[in-house]
Amino acid sequence: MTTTRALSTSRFKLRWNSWDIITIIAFIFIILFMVYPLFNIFLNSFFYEGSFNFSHYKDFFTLKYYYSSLTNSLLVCGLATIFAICIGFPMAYILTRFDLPFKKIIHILIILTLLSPPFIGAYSWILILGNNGFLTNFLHSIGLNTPSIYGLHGMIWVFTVQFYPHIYLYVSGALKTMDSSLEEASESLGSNKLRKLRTVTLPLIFPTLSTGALMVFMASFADFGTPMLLGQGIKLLPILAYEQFINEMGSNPAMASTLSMILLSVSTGILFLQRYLVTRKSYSMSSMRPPKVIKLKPLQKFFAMLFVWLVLAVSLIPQITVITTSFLKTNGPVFTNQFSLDSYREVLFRVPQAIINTFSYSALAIVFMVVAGLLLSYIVVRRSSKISALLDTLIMIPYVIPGTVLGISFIVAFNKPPIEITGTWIILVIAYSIRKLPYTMRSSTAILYQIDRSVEEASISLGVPPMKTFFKTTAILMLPGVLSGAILSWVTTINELSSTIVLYTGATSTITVAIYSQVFTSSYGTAAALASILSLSTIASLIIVTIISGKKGIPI
Amino acid sequence: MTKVRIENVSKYFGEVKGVDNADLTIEDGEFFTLLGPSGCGKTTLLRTLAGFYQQEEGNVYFGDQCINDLPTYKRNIGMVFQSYSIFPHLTVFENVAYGLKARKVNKIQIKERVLEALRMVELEDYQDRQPALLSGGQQQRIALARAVVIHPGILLMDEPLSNLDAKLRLKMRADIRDLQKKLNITMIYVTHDQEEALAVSDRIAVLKKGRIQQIGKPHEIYLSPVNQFVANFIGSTNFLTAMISEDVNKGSIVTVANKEYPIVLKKPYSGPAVYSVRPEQIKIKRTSSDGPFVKGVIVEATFLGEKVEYNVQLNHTTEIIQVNEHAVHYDLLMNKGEHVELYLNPEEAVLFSKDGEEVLNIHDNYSSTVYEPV
Ligand SMILES: Nc1ncnc2c1ncn2[C@@H]1O[C@H](COP(=O)(O)OP(=O)(O)OP(=O)(O)O)[C@@H](O)[C@H]1O
Ligand SMILES: [Mg+2]
Repeated sequence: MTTTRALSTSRFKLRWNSWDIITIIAFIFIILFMVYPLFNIFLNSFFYEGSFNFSHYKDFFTLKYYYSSLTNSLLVCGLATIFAICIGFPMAYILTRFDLPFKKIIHILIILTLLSPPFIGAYSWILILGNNGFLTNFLHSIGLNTPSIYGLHGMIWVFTVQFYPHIYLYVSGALKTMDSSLEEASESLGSNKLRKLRTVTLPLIFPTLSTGALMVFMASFADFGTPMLLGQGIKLLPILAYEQFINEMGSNPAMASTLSMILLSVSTGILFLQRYLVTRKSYSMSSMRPPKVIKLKPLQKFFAMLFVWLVLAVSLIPQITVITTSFLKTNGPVFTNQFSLDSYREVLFRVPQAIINTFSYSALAIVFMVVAGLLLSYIVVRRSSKISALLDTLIMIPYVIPGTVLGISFIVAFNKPPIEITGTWIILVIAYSIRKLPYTMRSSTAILYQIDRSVEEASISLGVPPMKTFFKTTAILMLPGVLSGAILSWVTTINELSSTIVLYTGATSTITVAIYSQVFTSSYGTAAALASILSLSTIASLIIVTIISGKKGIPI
Repeated sequence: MTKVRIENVSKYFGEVKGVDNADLTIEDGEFFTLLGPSGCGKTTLLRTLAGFYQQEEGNVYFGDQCINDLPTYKRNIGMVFQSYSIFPHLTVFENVAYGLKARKVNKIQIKERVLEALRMVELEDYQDRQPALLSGGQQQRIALARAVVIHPGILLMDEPLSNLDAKLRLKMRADIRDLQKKLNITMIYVTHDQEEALAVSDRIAVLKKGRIQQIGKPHEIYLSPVNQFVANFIGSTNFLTAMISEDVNKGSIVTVANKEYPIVLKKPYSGPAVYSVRPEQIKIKRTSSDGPFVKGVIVEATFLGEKVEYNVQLNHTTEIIQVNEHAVHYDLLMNKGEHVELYLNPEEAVLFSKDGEEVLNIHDNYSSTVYEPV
């Protein structure tokens, strides 16, 4: 027996295969580009004039200048989340339960809203309701004075309009799979409609609703562009962190690190809070009979449609404004009524590099994410062990890292040896890859669970080594799912601002950074042209993903 | 082509013994079946042979070669899975050609061999189809062709028929058997269906909780089970409580259903025992006489086509006995409520010790080739 046992161990060593090597590389990468930078700002936040203490944290919680940024952030994001629920929930309910026309198109338009970056929304609302906006001027000319879009209420407005689709998507998903017999049971017990909603429907969809709410909160909490454009003196947490870091009048990386740590703790805390609420109240739902679609009476139908189209119109206004104005001739910061391609000419002349950068960096990051998504999801799903579970958890951490925080942590960590890449394009590509990998991972693992494992075993038994088998079978079968996930990552990558703004230098500027600086210098024409380029790329990508996923039956 | 030697192989999953000290030899060209209830370790043993699992103890030889260290893809095996596991992104032809391409066979030969294999499974007209559009039976035949086309040393099948409907299952199992004999491949076949196992196998190994209980030809296992578990799992049987006693004059006597029969024991024993007799080994007729017959009344009579199944409630005990009789003349069949007498056929009955672990008697079909785990 002892001889065979000895044999077993020697065999084990022989089987150190390519997957183990990939796992190790993944860990090295994660430790280097996520754990190490975060650990760096963590340390940094405790250093005050060369010694280790808590004075930055003390300052933060005692000085109004600092802590008000946190209260502002919580206020804005909290209210935006509540309003987003107020809009997203009825939208989802109406569109899943009632027979309205054009549901598919509405669905896609709502997703489109979600995918265009919030700061473009903020910017076009400035064009509409800013000090010199169309609507402001128009209302002014008929004697009405509107409140300005600038300030906390403006941010809440933009975040609500921008992020209610999260609620819509999650809730309509849940409503679609809810078993109608539960609701019918409640009805047969004599519950009226409202009571039914409160006692049966709501508790059942609470887990999904809260996930949607979490997404809204996280997205607005981490957003950089909107508060930057609409803040005008009122600072939210990411802005303050950014300013402490970048400030030309003496930057304070240690305070920026402290603020980053607070950003990180809040978003992590919120995540755990949501998880905690959900685990206490989750019901497993299996849809035996999906709920039936109810026919509405004409008048009811009219109001339902009015609501849906109104919401949709408001959420599409930014896109439409941006694209329309991009074709107008400008006179300084003011748009005239003449059609012209000047803005585009100007863009191509002034910032061609930014356009090239955006697409090439994003493309590189996507290639990286597709490969990493394929390989790592395989490790997580098919070679599950404690180590792969740890890998899975680590990969998901960027979900809770606001872009600004990641940017700051990268600079703090990588402006000195051993890895000195600050200011290069590499740092941007790595930042994108780390930030968006979780999304690609999610779609990759989802599809991998649907692929029969024995397909691979059949291939191996036919004489093809495991790694080659993976690329000849499973990888090919996973590709549609991974690609549709990757295209969504691509869309969010080309629209990325919050970490880019910290990490870019003149030569590595991107479209989003260019838009941001154009808006700041009131060059609204070129900003509109750049934003249109982004929007059209986003729409095109979305069409591609719909086609891919439609063909293979993969839900987006 | 290949003889398989499994030497004291154990495979653990933590505390669970998936396979516990299996030791057997499968002959070249033999159709060998691993049979047992769910969770008994059939799949585990098969996958260990395939190399998907690494055994903790013991050795496996294909021919003279010890293959412990040989990864699956070098073992030259053909494998057919329960879930077809066709490559959905390849055509039927490409599926079957897959293993040949991996072996770098030249194009002309690939074409020849694939077509031949497809002809064997009667799918030559489907070579350009997408497999997803084919029926379950057709998909499983592609899997079969794909496995045999590479001329594997051994062919491994894990419940290949369990996703097919009953009729197709009968046809496919005959086809598989024919193909195996024609190609003279060593086959290791897993099933939990005892009838299927009896029908196709040269020899069967019956497993329980990771341990091999008995290895033998189908009739040996059926007629001469080594313990109560095997008797119960293969076919259907009646277990009656019995008592064995020594009589100075008559030798050993078994008392069952208030009757005494002389028996021949393997070794001296007296005390309680289990009397196992198969439904078709019992003779049944309308009550007429005394003698070595047990009396009872029919509580249920089921006509099953080629046979009739009677459930007989014995007088004097609460036991119900199942009896099968060939249905030759329908008019001669008996009905519910009729009084009958049974001959419990002690010559063919198997007597187990009370714990069911041991055979006590030497009966008509007694076979001495009993598997004894080392
Ligand atoms: N990968 C695994 N990890 C842990 N335990 C396992 C694993 N595979 C099998 N087992 C356990 O080993 C035992 C044997 O399982 P195995 O799959 O070999 O049974 P089986 O005879 O093929 O059953 P079935 O007829 O249901 O397919 C079972 O108790 C099972 O729970
Ligand atoms: Mg099995």
